Amino acid sequence: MSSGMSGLGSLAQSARQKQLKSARGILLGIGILTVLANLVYMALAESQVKAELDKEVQQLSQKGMAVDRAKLAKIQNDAVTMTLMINGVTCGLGVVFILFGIFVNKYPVPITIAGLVLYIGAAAVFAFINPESLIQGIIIKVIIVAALVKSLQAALAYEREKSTAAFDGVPAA
Amino acid sequence: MCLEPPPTGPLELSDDDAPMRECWRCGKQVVASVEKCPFCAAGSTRRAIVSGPQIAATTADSALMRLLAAYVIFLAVSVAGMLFIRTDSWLGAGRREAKPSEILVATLVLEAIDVVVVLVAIAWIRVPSTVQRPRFGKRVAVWVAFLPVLAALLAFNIVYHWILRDIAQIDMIETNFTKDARLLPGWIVAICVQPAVIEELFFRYAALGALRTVTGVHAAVILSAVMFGMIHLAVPLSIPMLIVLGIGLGYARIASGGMVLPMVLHFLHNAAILVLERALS
Repeated sequence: MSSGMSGLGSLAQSARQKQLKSARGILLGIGILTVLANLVYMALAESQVKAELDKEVQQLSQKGMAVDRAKLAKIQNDAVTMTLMINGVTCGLGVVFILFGIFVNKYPVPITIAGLVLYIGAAAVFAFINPESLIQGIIIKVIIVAALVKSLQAALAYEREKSTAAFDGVPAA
Repeated sequence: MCLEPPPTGPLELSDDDAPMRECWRCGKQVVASVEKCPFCAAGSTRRAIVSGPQIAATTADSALMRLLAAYVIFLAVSVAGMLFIRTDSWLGAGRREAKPSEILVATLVLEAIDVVVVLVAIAWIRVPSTVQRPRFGKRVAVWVAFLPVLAALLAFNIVYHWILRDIAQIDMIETNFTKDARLLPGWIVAICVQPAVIEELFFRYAALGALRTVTGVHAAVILSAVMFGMIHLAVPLSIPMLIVLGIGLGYARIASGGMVLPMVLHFLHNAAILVLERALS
C-alpha cells in the first residue's frame, strides 16, 4: 500500500472511529435513560397499581357490585410484583446497554449488532405488552435504529480496515 | 480460521544458492524451505487475523443486513400475530373467551405464516457456507455429548420457571389450553415440530451463518441466541432462559456441523416442556 493510500485509509478510519464514538454515545444514552426511567417506575409501582385498581373498584361500585377485599389485596400484590419484575428486567437491559457503550470500541461489530437486536427486540416485546408503546416516541426510535445501523456499517468497515492494515503491516489508524 | 496465501516476499539466493524468503513477522532473510523462522519462530505462512471464515466482504455485509431486515419482519409478524390471538378480536370483539381449539387454530395459522416468512427470508439472505461438517466418528460423539447438555438445559428451564412461579409468585403462561387430549396432535405440531424446524432454520442456519461471516464463533452463537430469545415476545420473563437454550442449540449446530442435532434437541426440549405443562395443569 502506498503512503498516499494509507493516508486516505487512515482518514477513512478516523471517520469510522467518530461513528463508533457516536455509537458509544447512543448506547450509553439508551442505557442511562432506561435505568433511570425504570428506577422511577419501580419506586412508583405500588402507588400506580393501587391508583389503577382503585379506579376499577370505583367503577364496579358505581354499577352496584361489591368487591372482595381479600381478593383485591392479592390482585394488587401480584400486579405490583409483576410490574417490579418487568421494570427490574428492563433496568437490567439498561445496564447491558451501558456495558455495550463502555466496550463498543473493543468489540465494535458484535456489540453494535447486539445493541441493534436488543433495541428492536425490546421494542417488539413492549409493543406486545402495550401496543401503544410502539407509536410513543416513534420518530426518536426510528432515529436511534438508523444511527445504530449506521454505526454497525462503520464498525464493519473499521474492523475490516483494521485487520487489513495489521495484515499488511500498516498500523491501524 | 483461514490461511493467508503463501508469502510473496522477494526470493533471494544465498551463497550456497538456497532460495531465501523474507520472514513475514521479523522481516529477516531465512531459507525458504525452513518451516519456522530461526530468529522469531514464526511459521512459513501466517494465520489470518480475522477469525471468521474467508468470505468476500460485500457478501458478508449484505448477508448480515438482509438477516437483520428479515429479523425485523419476523418480529413484526410475531407481534401482529400474538396481538391478534390475545385480543380475541377474531371472536367477535371479545364477546366470549376463546376455546382451546380456537387458540390452537389461530396458533397454527400464525405458525404457517412464520413458515412462509422464514423460507422466503432464507432464500433472500443467501447464507454463506460457514460451518464445517466433522468426520462421522466426531459427529456421533457430539450427538452423545449433547444429551446431558439437553438434560442440563431442561433442568435450568424447570428451575428458572419454578423460581418465577413459586418464589417470585408470578404465573406467566396460561397452560390449561393444552390439556384437551383430542387437541394434543395439533399442539405437538404447534409447540414441538414447527419451532424445532422453522426456528432452527432461521436462527441456527441463517442467523448463525450470516453472523459467522462478520464475527467469531462464540459471538455468532451468543448473538443468534439473543435474537432467538427476543422473538419469544409472548413470554418476556422467559427470554433470559431462552437465550441460554439458544446458546446450547447454537453450539450443537457448530459442533455437529449440521442442522439435525439442534432440531432434534429443540424438539425434545419443547416436547418435555409440553408433557410437564400437561402434567402440572
